[in-house]
Amino acid sequence: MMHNAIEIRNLTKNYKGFSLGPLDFTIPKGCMVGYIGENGAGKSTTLKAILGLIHADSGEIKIFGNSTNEHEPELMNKIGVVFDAINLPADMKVQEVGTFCKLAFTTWAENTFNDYLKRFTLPDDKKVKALSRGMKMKLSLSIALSHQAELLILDEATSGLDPVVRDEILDILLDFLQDENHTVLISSHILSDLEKAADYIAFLHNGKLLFMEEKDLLVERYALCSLDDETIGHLDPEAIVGRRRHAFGQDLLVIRNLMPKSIKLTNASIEDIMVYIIKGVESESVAL
Amino acid sequence: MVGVIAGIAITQGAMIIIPFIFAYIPMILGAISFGYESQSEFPKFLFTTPISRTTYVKSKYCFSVLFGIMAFVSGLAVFGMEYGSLDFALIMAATSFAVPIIFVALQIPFVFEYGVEKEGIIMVATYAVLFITIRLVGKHLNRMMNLVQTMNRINSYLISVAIVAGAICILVVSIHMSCVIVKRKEY
Repeated sequence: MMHNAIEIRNLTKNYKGFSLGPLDFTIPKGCMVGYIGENGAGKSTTLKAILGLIHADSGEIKIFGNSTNEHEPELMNKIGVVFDAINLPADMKVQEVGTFCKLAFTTWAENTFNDYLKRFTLPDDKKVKALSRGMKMKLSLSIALSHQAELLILDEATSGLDPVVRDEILDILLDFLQDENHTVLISSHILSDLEKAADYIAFLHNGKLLFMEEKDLLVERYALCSLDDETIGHLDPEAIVGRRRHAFGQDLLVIRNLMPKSIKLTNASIEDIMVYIIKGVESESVAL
Repeated sequence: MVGVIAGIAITQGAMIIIPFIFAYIPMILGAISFGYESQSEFPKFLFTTPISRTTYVKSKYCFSVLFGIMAFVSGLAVFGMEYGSLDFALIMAATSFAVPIIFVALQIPFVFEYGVEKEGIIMVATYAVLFITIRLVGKHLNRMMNLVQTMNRINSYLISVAIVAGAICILVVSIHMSCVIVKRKEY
């Protein structure tokens, strides 16, 4: 029985001035994985390699147990993709997009597509270029959800959208995940969205995967505290993951169970974890 | 637009232009198609659907084959009516078929390799080749006519088949090259 939607083994991709990998991780079926990292970390490169839009230099990617080296176009029926831009001809009308997709996808569900258009109030006769950013994302999502996809891949799909639209999209993704065979892999800078909905967080930094953990465990594992320099000197160095210095001491991201019980800790958000870990990694690099 | 030009050609008694209009159209349609795709990065969407890169490449040649067939049929009709000789009409129809095929077969791999930005240069180069060819033919028109008449005597059917087969071979090679280029590309 196949438990993983995506399996990545030893994936590498080299560009001038940047190297991705080697990456090794799996995306389990039936969950939402938030793929985070700073700009230029390699998130889009990873997603494009999964989709076959770019060619990996080495490694293997399997989607639903099928290696993408023997890329079968029919597999794309099972994968719904939403990029940050819609990539459709600007003069194409919404209705014509549906007609094209009906020809392209063998599992196209026209009624489902029309239902989403009604739900999102997208007019049939409007051209793609006349749609707002939010409407373009909704059209993109409608396409992705209308061909019986089992895997949704979203690359910065919610960037630039207002909170109402983002909330609407998150609700749709959570509905999509009601089916335990459905999986979502979403890369986003809006970490508050992932905090609400993701099951796992995979953190990419400078082309390397720093961790992939369950979101709840991550939030339990790390905590924030603000201490003076003298107190910090008595702490286990292994407990400190990242720090921000200020006039009165330091703000620290710490590993909760390595900290003395007497120190007051506050919960760390995914954003805090990401920022402090990056700062911690960069401080180590400078020290070396 | 095609109808207008064809209508003018008929009224002016210059019907032999019609097959060459069909030769010209695929180049323009190809340029428009590539231009639109470049603006919207359409292949990035396309390759997330079940449409393969090979199918995408082959679709770019459809116009040239379709209009090549139309050029052949119209060439056969027009040259047959104009010169009353089926042999001559057959050779000219085969040439009319070959012209759009060969021009598009030369252009498309370059556009895939170097991008739409260079398409203008590629089209200018193609027209330059066309212009130079017409100039040469014009200078040596008598020799060309004698050659065609000689070819007529040999076997016009054989010559026509050779021209069509040659064009199809060039088309197949071009499609193969384009497939290799597009499969290698990253989006």
